[in-house]
Amino acid sequence: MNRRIMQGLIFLDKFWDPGMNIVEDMGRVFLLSGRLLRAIFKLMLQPVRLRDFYLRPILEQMVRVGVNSIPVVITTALFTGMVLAIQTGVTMESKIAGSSIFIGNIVSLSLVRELGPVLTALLVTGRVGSAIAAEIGSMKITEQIDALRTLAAEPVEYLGIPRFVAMLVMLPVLTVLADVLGTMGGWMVSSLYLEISSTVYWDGVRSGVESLDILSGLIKSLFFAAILCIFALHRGFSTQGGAVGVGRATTSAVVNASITILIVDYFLAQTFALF
Amino acid sequence: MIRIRNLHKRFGSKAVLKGLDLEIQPGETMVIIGRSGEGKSVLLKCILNLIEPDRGEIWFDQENILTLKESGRAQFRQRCGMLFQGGALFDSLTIEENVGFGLRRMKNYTEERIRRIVREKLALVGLKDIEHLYPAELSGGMKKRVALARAIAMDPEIILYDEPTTGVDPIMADAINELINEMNRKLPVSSIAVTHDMVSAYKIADRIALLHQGRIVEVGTPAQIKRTRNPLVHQFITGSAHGPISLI
Ligand SMILES: Nc1ncnc2c1ncn2[C@@H]1O[C@H](COP(=O)(O)OP(=O)(O)OP(=O)(O)O)[C@@H](O)[C@H]1O
Ligand SMILES: [Mg+2]
Repeated sequence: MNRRIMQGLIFLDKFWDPGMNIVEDMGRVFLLSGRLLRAIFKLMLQPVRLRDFYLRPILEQMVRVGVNSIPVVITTALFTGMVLAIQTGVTMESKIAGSSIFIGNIVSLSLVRELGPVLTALLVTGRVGSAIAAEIGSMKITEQIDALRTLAAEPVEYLGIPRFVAMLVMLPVLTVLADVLGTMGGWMVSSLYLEISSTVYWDGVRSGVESLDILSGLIKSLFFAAILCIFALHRGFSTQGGAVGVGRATTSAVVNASITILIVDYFLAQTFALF
Repeated sequence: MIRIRNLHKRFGSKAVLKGLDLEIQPGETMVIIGRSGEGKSVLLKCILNLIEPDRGEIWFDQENILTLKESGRAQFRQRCGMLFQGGALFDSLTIEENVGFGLRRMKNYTEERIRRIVREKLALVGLKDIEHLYPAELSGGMKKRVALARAIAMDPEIILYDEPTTGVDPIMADAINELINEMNRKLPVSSIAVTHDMVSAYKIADRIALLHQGRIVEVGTPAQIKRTRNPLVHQFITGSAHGPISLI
């Protein structure tokens, strides 16, 4: 049964994008996430093991994923909020004069629901997902993955758990940061260029964004974190053949994770629209 | 005792191992020789279950490890030490952390004790005061020796050496040969060593096996191998370009 499905996926791939195997990847990523989640669950039942073997690596990865990504996320979010404000503000004003007082409402909602989670996820995919795939890929081709297994460290768990957990924690944090910075970017442009008073802007933000919007954005970013991390892990672990292989692993991890994030984003948006 | 029966492994259309049989007695050092690309490294990885063979049996202590579940295989692996052909040092960890990696994960030793063991094992391979360096800062031969120290750090019952003397100078090579002999004298270790270096092979081997075209074609003590009538073996040990083994 499983094999049938796999063959179907491989077949689909040939039509889509030869060489990238995105559909097959999605299937394998699904299996790998099951395995990782099981391992994490098992680990939670062994707090001592968790503390001794995983605490430090998780913290290290959190710095790598989270702290080091802050400048990129801040810059991107700020400018996105600014562009959003100027584009929608000018358009609204040209259609219905005075309607740009809703600008705070629109900018913050678009950010919290969509642009914050998606842009942050895509940035982190490019920055961290690629690094994870390259790092694990080069460990694979230099037999370090084999060596881990001979030294009682199951590689998927030893390398996967810290990265996965760090990503699940840090991506939502980065997303909130992007939401906030983006809204501030919108505010800057609104008050300096569109001549909307700060009170009007922030009132719009307050009346526009509900807690459900924030929650849906965070749920999205959790999904995206899992997707980008597991694509990177999967591609890293299945690296074959020298430096070219590492390059291929990196590219396909980023491309496939990005496409999947956008597809999943649509379905999540549709689901949240029900509430 | 390790007993390998009818082992098969192919990669795509390329059959590498084609029904390989081999027995290693307890306490014995078996040296495997064979041309480059014959599948010696693949054989070692099959024994450790790092590569899943297509067919065959690998018996250890009355158990066919290929029928064990992953947890059982992992347990078996923990009783083995492996020196990888390329060293396979973890390049994000220091030398100290590399050599102590298995100890930290598997033994409940104090940090002090682990550091002492690491120092001892490094001294055995002729290295000292490099604990804080990273693998990228070492020479090729030094990496090989650190990898050897890591392989023996846990005092394993079975040690697999993939070309232990390749890339080290002749004096150090001889020291490594002695170290391998020493390992077997202290404890009843079974070892399998892959090598192209016949000097080393004669020095460390209890028996030598020639791997050719996916099978073991001859096994014997160094003395028997030297006197062999088998033209394949003769060509190999004399290192001649002329004989039954063609170059391509
Ligand atoms: N992961 C793999 N995927 C595909 N082919 C492989 C893989 N590993 C090994 N091979 C092939 O198996 C054959 C045997 O390789 P192996 O590394 O065991 O050779 P070897 O006897 O150790 O050679 P050397 O003395 O040069 O180290 C080679 O032809 C190699 O191309
Ligand atoms: Mg080899």
